[in-house]
Amino acid sequence: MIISIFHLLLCWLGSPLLLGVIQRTKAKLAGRQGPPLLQNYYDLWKLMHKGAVFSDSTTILFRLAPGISLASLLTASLLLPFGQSEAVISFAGDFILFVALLALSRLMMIIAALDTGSAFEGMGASRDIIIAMLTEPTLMLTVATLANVASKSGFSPTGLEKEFLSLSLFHTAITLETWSQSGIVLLLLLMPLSVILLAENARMPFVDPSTHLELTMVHEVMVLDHSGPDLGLIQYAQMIKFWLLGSLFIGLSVPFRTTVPLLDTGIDFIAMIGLAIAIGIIESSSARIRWQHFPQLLISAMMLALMAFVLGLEGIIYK
Amino acid sequence: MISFTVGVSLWFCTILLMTMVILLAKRIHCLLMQAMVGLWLAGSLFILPVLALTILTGEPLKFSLNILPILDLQAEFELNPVNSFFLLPVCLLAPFLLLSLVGYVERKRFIGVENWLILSFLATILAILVVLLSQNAIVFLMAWEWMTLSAYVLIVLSVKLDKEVTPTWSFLAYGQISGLSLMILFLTMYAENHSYSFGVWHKNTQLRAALSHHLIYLCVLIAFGAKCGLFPMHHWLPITYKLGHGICPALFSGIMSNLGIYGFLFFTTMLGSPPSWYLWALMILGLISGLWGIASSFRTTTLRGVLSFSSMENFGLMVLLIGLSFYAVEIHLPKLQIFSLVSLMILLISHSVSKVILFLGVSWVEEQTGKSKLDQLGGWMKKSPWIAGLMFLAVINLVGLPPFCHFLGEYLLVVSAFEAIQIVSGVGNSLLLAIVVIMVMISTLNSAAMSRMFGISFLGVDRSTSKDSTSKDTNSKDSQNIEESISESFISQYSEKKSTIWISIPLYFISAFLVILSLLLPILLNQFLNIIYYFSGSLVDGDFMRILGQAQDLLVKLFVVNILFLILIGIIFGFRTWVLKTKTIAKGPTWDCGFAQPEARMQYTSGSYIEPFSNLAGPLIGIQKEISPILEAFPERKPRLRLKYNDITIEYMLAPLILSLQYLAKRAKKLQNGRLNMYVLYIGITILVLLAWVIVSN
Repeated sequence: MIISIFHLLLCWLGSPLLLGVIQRTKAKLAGRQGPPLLQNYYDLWKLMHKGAVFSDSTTILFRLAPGISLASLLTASLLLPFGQSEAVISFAGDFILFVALLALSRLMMIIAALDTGSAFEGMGASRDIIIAMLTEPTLMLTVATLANVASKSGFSPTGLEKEFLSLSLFHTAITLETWSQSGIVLLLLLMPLSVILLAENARMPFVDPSTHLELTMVHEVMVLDHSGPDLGLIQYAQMIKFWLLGSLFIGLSVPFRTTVPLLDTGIDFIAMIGLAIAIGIIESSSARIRWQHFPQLLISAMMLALMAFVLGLEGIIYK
Repeated sequence: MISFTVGVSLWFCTILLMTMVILLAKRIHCLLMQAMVGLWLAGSLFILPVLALTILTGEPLKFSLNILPILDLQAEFELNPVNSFFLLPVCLLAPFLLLSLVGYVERKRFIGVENWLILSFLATILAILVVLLSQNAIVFLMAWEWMTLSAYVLIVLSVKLDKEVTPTWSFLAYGQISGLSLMILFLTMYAENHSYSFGVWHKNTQLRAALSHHLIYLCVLIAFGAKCGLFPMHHWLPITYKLGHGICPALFSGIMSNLGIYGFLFFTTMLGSPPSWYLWALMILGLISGLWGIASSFRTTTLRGVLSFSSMENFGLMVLLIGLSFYAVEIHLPKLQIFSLVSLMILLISHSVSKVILFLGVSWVEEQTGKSKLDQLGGWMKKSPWIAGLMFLAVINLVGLPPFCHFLGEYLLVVSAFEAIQIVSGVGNSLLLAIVVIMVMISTLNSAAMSRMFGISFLGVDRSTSKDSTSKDTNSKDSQNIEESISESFISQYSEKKSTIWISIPLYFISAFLVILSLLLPILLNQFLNIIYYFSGSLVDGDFMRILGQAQDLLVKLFVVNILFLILIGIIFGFRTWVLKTKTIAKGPTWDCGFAQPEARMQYTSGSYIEPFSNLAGPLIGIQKEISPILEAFPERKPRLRLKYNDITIEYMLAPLILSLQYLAKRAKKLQNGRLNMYVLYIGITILVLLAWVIVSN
């Protein structure tokens, strides 16, 4: 339990660092010095000390949205395992709650965007909801397949009987042995999970986070009217979301487990930094895809997740 | 028993009082109206403890009445845990709907027809009570028809008032299809059992001929499918919900259509051994209804339209759960069965409460603006923050997001389906997989549909350009009559405030109930075990308590997470308030990237909000895009983009059916040629056929 709480604190405190790593990587690859690694912490601190400006057209929902959005992501982090240990809270089907909390966080931001009455923010909300319509089923199928594979592997490193269909079960049970048993299913899952990671966190090739052209933005354009502490809460929520989806990806792609919990935590944390560097490299070397091509890529990811789900169910890989 | 009798008697007294008012007086006095509401509310308060007691103890309450002495028709009634559960929304929500109706009557909304309107409302509720309690086919059918007709009168009265030319026939037509199916079902069962008593039918489940066994289940499917708007019998639902005053759809969606679900549950259990095709039909049609319902909500541009399709989606899911629970018995999966039933209970009560809140809110908005289209509204959250805020809670609940109770129902369904996938093989596996995938799709589509409805009509800036009629009236007063004007204004404001309270109080109470239900449901589940036991007790006797315990454990864990979530919200807002305490908080126009003071028309519309979705799936759900091509560099005519909405189920299913019926009717009309000798010939042929039938059957 102590190590689980430590992981939770690591998520809450370490998530701004990951975005710093991405920014630094991009700057280095562009031949610039770039901002310091702790820049995001400074930014959050600065925003928390600023006043706020609210639009006349906004209501109480606009003020509530950033807080509720952050609270849902922080609650989701309670369900997320890291390293070798279980999550702070784990039960059967907790991944459904995990996905629902992510959906609530997004819905609140969409509501806040529509509250401003702005054409740009309306456009961002419209785009964000279509992304959600395609990524949420994919995420659900991906996590369910992982839970399935883990439950069928019959391997539990801690020797404890964990809850069926739980995020903690799949995280601790996916090891090198599981990869050798059902590598094809897990490999198939990496593709949709990476697409979800990039699309949900508004990274390239879906969205260019460094652009200043509103017409090309999705998440950034939705928060144009937020300022001060509310903007800080939103930015922090985005960092937490990156950590949540990133650690899901790491849980699947880095199956190395030792018997030392702290060592496993270290391995996963280094893997998270590696993921941030990889995203920095992708963002430096690829162009943003056209908005019209978004659904094609997301539907392809959904189909792959479905294929992996069916393959995992039928036990083709195990026989 | 005494409490229940007193409660029902008070309800009857209210109806008698109303009838007397209609007979003796033209207009109903305000005080009398309030006394009537009080009487009805008292009746509900007497009935509610009996319902709670029946649910908690599981002891049925049986009684019989000789309702037609000439025919010596002994009508049996029973109050058991299941119909008590279905009576809960009736007793809890109907008094608030009545209160709201009275509020609108006080606002002079229903001049001329108010008495009849209230009477038909009360008669509908009473008919619902009789349907739920009835254990006799004749009484059931009579009450069913009574319910359909009084509900029809309710719509017609408010439609007539609005001077709308609307197709009210669809509600009546589907109601009669439902009634006709019930009649065939009951006659078939009478032929088999020589009794109209449901108790006798239940005892003789094994003695049924194969053909009549299939026929009765087909009748059940049509009768109750039509009542709850199951695909493809859903066309009446979006049409009827748009008609008349908002109280009508609130009553239909929140209370009356639940009887379709009750019918499926009650008759499938009572008739016993449902055929496989019937269960598959329930599951497949339920899934299609869910998906089609929510996808169709993108096609509609009115508040009520979105809500009506959301009702179709929710009733579809409930029918799916009924099919799944009986299918689980067939494949020996008690956990799937019990989880499906628990999920059904949660979805039913949550949907009823949310829909009543939303339709009451929508009727308030329509009352204030006279508009119902999403693109004509906007900014209502600022004008009525409390009402819109309460509606927002109901929206979040219906989307199926934590911490509200609708999520709990959907969660149990998905968890049990996921678990069953691991065990079931073959076609059942594919079905469960389809259920999981479609459930997730429905959930995300729901999020888009509800954010569109709420975001476009309640948030942003008001799109209407017309000024408030009340202020216009006040300004137009002659300056010489200032004193009189002030006096009138004071009276009208007082009356407005009073009637607004009548309308808003129900919303506050029902919303409070939704919040309490969401918070406490996980820990109260064990109190409802008698309802689930009614269906599952005989089927999975040994495992019942263990599985229900598992469901309770899961819900308690969700309850803990919900509490932590609320605590985190509290901490974040405490921190935000503390941080902003000493800072400057300014107000200004929406930033909008430099376009200061954006106009209302610059906002995203309901069509543009779903444009990416209509690009993706428009042809499948009947959204067509019409673009006038730009052929010149400087076109004289403005380029135009228009979204056209067609219901392809009407185009390809209902319209051909109606055309074929029209064709047949035209042919049959030739028989009615006006020649007397031909009519005598028809009578002769009929007598000969009947004689032949009697001879052959003997």
